[in-house]
Amino acid sequence: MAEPHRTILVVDDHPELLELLREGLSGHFTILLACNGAEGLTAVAESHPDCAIIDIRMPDIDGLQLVRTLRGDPTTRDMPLIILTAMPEEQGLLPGLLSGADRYLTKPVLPSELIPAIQNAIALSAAERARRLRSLVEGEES
Amino acid sequence: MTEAIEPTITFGGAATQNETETIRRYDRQRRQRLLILMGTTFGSLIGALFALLVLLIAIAGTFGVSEIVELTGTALNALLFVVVVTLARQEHVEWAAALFAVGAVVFPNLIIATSTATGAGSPFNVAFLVGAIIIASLAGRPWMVFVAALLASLTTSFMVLAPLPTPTPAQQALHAYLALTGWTILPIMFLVYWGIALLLLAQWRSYQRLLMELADVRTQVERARRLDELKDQFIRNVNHELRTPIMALLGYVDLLKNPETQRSTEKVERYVQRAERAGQSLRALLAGILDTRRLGVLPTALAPERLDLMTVLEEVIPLIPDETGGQNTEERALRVRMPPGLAVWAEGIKTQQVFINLLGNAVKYSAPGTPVDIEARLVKGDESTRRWRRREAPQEPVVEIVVRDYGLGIPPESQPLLFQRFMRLPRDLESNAIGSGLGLYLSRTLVESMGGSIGVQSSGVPGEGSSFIVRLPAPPHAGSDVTADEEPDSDPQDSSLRLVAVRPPDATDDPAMGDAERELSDQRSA
Repeated sequence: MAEPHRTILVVDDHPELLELLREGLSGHFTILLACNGAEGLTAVAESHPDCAIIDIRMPDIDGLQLVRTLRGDPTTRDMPLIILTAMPEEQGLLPGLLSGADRYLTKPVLPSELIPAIQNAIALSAAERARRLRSLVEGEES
Repeated sequence: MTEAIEPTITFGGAATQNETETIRRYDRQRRQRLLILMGTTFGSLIGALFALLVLLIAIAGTFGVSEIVELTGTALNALLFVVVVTLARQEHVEWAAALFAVGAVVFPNLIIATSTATGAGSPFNVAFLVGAIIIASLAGRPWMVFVAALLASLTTSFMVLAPLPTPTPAQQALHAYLALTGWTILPIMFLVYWGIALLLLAQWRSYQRLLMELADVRTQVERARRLDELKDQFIRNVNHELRTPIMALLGYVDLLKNPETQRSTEKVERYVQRAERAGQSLRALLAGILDTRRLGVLPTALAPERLDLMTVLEEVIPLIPDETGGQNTEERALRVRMPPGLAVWAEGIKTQQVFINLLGNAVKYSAPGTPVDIEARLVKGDESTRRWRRREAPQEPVVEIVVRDYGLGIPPESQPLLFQRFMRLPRDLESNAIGSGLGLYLSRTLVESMGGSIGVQSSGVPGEGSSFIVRLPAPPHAGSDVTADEEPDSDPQDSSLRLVAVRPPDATDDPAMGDAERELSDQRSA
């Protein structure tokens, strides 16, 4: 079964990092970039990405706050969310997972490592399970 | 402008104004607590005395004018202490101390002098009067001791010199005593009062000094604790700042390994360039950290020379790093106001580094397009140290340079720690501004190593900006040049330079960078 084309949103306040991820991921996904939390929210509302990669320390909306907001919204509740941050695990892992993120990745992460992580997160997400179940049931019916 | 700066300047070594305030607050709190305690104790005692008097009068069964006077006086006295405690609680420490002295000296003596029931006490009430002076010294400032001593002298004089028409037993005893000893007792009493007052004042001063030292230790401990916190914060910052370029570097290398990338020369070139830039920002960060470490630990030999300030500024401008990711390349006006040919006695590289830091900050923390001002003048002696070493030989002349921006400013509460290592303002941590919290610490270390000083003045109101004041020694014999024109602003020359934020040496990206500028960058990184 061919994988459908996925749209990934990257929210990070470091321009050089956004650039790297666009270069590194655009062969596999459609990439949307946002350089702060507010832009991230707008991008989610407009483009409904399949997965979001979110930094924690950002100038306007804290990444954890952004994750909580997305989890609280019924339309984005099941979206796979990956935290990608410079904050070490002992400091950020627990708050990150408690906020509702699916994965917690600590920088530096190579683009080649990030791709399977994104694919995994999408495959494991509740929304995806529901979608596959539906297509399975529909396939049996037809 | 500089007159207004003086009172709020914060210099590195001595206790800062904030800390002195803390010390004063400690002292005030101490006196406040003491007044509340003593006021309560005295008030309770006088209240108990009132009850005792009522009992005594009831037993004696006589109730005349003197009893009424005595009861009213005692009640008023007790009330006075209630007022003292209330005032002290409301932080009117001086008023409370003054009323306390009145309550402790005047009232009891008037009561004793006019009463019948308790009037058989000591003729001079010496213990009471001396006690009041001691209490005044504990509860109040030095002038309270003078007031108490004066009141004690007046009370004694009143008792001795102004006998009542119907002498009380106390006065009768007193006059019998005076008949024995003669009037010499009066000056002796005065001597006792004032001698004790002077002793107490001396003791008060040494106590104050002790207190200051104690508070100093406290502020030192507090400083050390803050520094420790800053150190932790610094490590977190370094960690955070390092990870991003490392990820960029490794990420582009990872992409370069991809066979698909290798098919496109254009992509390979771009990735190599970006990886290189990430590596360079890592190098700059490490250099900053190592500089801090080195300058913080090792004293370096001083090799000062005569540096023309204008030349220094001209050399420095191309080196000011643009840390806003290329968004801030707009030209800025750098307005310079200084007498022609003004020079400092300092080391070239160090002086350059200081102005790179200060001008870089001015650009980084102010809106694009706002000007930056530099005002420099020759002043006679370092005014910051003159206060403490008034008796020393005439001060060497120094050059005072004020770098002023019209940006965010620095909140006054952040100023005392501004020149400490690892210091970053909370707003920087939340913002995108790159920085390791080392720039101003480095500047301070550099300036102080050249025998100068650095300070800041800012109201913390955005738009009013901040002024950084650098003082560097003037070249030898510069003082004789100025004696002719003592007025510092007698002949300043206005110049205007273009302050352009340029990127850090990244030649491939910035073809506008000339050879001369590149040489300067090399010199700087060397």
